[in-house]
Amino acid sequence: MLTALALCLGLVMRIAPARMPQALGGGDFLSVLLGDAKKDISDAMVHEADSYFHGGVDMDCHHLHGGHHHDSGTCCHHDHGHDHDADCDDHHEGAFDPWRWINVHVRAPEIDRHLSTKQAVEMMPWFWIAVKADPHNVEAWSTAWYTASHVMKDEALALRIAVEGQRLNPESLEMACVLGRAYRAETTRDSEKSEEMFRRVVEMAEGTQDLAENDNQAFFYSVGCLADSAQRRKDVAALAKLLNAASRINPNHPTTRSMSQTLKELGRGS
Amino acid sequence: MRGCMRRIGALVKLSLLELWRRNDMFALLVLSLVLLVPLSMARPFGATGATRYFDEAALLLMWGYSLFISLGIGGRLFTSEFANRTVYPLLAKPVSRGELLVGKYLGAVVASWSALAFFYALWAISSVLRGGECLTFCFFQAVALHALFVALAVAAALAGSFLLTPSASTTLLAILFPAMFFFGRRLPDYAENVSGVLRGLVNVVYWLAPHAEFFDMRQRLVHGWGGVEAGVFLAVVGYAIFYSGTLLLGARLLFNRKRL
Repeated sequence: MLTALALCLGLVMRIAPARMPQALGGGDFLSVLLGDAKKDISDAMVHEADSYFHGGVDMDCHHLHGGHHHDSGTCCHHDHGHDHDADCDDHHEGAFDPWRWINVHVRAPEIDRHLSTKQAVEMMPWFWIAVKADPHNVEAWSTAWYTASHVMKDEALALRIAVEGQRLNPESLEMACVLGRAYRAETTRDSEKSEEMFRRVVEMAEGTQDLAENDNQAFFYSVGCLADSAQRRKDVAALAKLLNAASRINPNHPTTRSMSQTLKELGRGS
Repeated sequence: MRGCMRRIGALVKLSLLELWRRNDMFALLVLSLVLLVPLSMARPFGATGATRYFDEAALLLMWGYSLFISLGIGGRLFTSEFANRTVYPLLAKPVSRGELLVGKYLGAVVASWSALAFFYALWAISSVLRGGECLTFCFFQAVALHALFVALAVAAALAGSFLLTPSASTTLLAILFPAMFFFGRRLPDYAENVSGVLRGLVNVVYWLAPHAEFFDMRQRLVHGWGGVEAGVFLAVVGYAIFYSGTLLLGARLLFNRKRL
């Protein structure tokens, strides 16, 4: 009944969207149906993809260290960009809990394996659902791109993901940087488009007061790439402009210091 | 003894026929096709070759269906007999209340198992067609644990039907089992984050509610982890037998006290 109702609603919205004043402006069917929950669903799908990467083990997470069991909602022992909770070892000490013992063993936390290059495609459906649920989940787009590019080594697929992600998130520094990086890959190389994206990152960052951590990384990666290019062309003016932009964001960043050094050397050389 | 077995056998046969005569199974089959066929054709971002998500979705559906069937059959076992007053001819000698309860329970379990076997057979066929390997040790362990879960769910539905009204019992169990299936293992963590009466309540639920998640070997099956250790498997089997036995005993006591 509910499925039929949802299908009918979807059909009506597709046929006559203008006659539905209650529909959110610019929102799709999922937006109406799920509201804010779509962000949580999207995050859950990214989490599921992460679990797939770790061979299906829920990274939220179950541990077995030499016969000592852990089952915590916060800790992880893997080092693939996850936070390591120092309190992990002290968690759930105490009396023997048979239910926990069964759960930990049935869910096989002792398994420590990762998807191979060929198997990594298994993560893609979860990323796909994640970005369908919330097209503005930049983390989902960027992780999908990273998986396609660095784990699956499929640069064409990575580029498709980056292009679509950037199209749907034109305001995101991180997505612009991701697309710039996708255009730098060996088989999909397009230096002009790549630099255009990196320049867009720098422009967007200049208009932003406080950059989030990911945006900050995207900015300095983009500045670094543009600086390399400028250095190859011996374009002192472009390099000085980039140094100026980087100094405004973080004068002590290694990229800023390196650019300053390069600029000095180029100045001496000329 | 032989007569008792024959009477129980007849009740089992009746339950089996009842399930397959109803349209539930075929409705579930059609629903599966509607959900899974488009899912099997999905090409996320144009990438091909992903199969685990399909297996996971199919297995999750099977868990949902098995719960739906078990609770439906278990809840209906006696309520319809009482409503239609057909329990009186059934209880006429030589069938005792105990035999009737055990016979009907076994019938419901066998009927639910037949549905489960049907769904697992379909899943195995689809897995083989996709080039997968399915008849592994882990597969048989997963089916066995799932079957035990079904037996437990039927026992819970049967006991619940004596304690509450059929709809209330089925609704309560339809909430309890999925809640335990998805969140049961995290209850101690939730208990740590709350205090007072609520913490006590969460702990009571953790220790007493049926741990549906013990029987869930989907992740092992989907990701090819291999089977569980014999000790763990036996512990889960023991849990299911003890829990189902306790529920049946409770149902027997309630049935005996019931005035007909």
